Amino acid sequence: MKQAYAQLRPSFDPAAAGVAETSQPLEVRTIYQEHGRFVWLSLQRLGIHPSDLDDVAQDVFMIVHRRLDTFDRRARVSTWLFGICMRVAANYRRRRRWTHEVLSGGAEDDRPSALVAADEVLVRREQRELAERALNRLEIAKRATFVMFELESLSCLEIAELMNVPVGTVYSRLHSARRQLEKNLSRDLARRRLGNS
Amino acid sequence: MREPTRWRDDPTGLTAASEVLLRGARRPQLPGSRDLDRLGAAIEGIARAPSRAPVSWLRLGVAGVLAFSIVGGGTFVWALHARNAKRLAAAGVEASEATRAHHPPRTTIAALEPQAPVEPEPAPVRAVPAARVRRHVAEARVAAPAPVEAVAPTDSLAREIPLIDAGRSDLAAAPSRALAALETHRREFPRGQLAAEREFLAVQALLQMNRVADANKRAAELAARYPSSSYAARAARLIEDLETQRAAAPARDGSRGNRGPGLPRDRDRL
Repeated sequence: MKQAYAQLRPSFDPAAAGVAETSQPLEVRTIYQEHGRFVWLSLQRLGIHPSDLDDVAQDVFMIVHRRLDTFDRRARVSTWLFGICMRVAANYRRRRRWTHEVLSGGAEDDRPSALVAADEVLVRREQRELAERALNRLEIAKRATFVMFELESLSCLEIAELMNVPVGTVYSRLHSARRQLEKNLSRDLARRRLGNS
Repeated sequence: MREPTRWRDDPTGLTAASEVLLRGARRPQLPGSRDLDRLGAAIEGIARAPSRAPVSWLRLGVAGVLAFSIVGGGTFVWALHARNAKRLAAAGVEASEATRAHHPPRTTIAALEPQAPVEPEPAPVRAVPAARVRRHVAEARVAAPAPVEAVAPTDSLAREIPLIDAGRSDLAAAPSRALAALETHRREFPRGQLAAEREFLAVQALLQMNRVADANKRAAELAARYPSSSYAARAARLIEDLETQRAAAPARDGSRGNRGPGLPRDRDRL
């Protein structure tokens, strides 16, 4: 898994990024070919539901196409793209709210198979619902930081590069995200236990 | 600063909440080939579209309406302000006249211009106006010219005021001189802002000079030209009172030639 994500870091190596990102003419097709997967992943890190990824990714590339002339070629394309993804995701979040995702999400992954017992499916679904609800309560930047560090195993330096913030900010966001997640999730778990008993 | 330890790398420190998060949270997934095909087709469509956002005619229209409203509104307010200022100036002249009626002037135009030619005065008319006419005349006998140095020569109203004040101040003592000042005003400002007042003062001056027919004519002209003016009404009352007195005088003593107080000497002119 980590290797797959590593392929999606074209901008992390400054030398390679400098050649790759400035030698070719900037066009939305080229950017899509080079960074389409990165945008797809980033939108999920920012909380876009899988069923909406296609539409939201199109929105991102529409903005990219319109703003190409404003892009500073000295900057990294991936950082620029991640900034656009954050703004689009923030708008998406305002439109949708988290409830929609919780109520409709995860059905595909939770389909019972012959190898998984029915109660195990229920437990997974419950964990998925609790975790997504807690993540969606976080600020969008904290959520992305947490997901990239804990779930995708990116280093803090990589996250800082991607989000165009100092590493200290990444540490701070990660610490804050962990604390809030534990607090909210512990409360939700306690409520659920009370409800079951 | 050291890289923080990941939760999954430190199983001993895991809480129930962090376990739920690590197990339940959805990990970002790479797009499938179908996703990539669909998105690629959409990107082709996006790439063919003009990179600049098309001009929004709606936005342009709204901006135009806003600009027009601002400019139009500003012009309207300015015009309203200018009109009000004009009205206030006219009202201020009348108000100052009323004020000066109670405060005799310290300096008159006549005093400042002693060289002005003075016509020989006719015999004073002691009783031509009736009591009401006298009251009106007394009200108008103010003759309070503004100090000459306070007058701005470029302002037409400021040039009108001294002439009218001169006419008013001389009305009682020297009606012919008052009439001359008023005629000067009439020549220079035939349609001036104080034209109605000038005509009213002229009617009074003519009555003082016993030129009743001329006064009647000027009063009629005043009423025709400024039908809604209070000066026209006051001039008409002066003439009306005079006629009433002239009609009542012969009946009182039965004689035809009573030329007592309140009657003009030259009744044939009427």
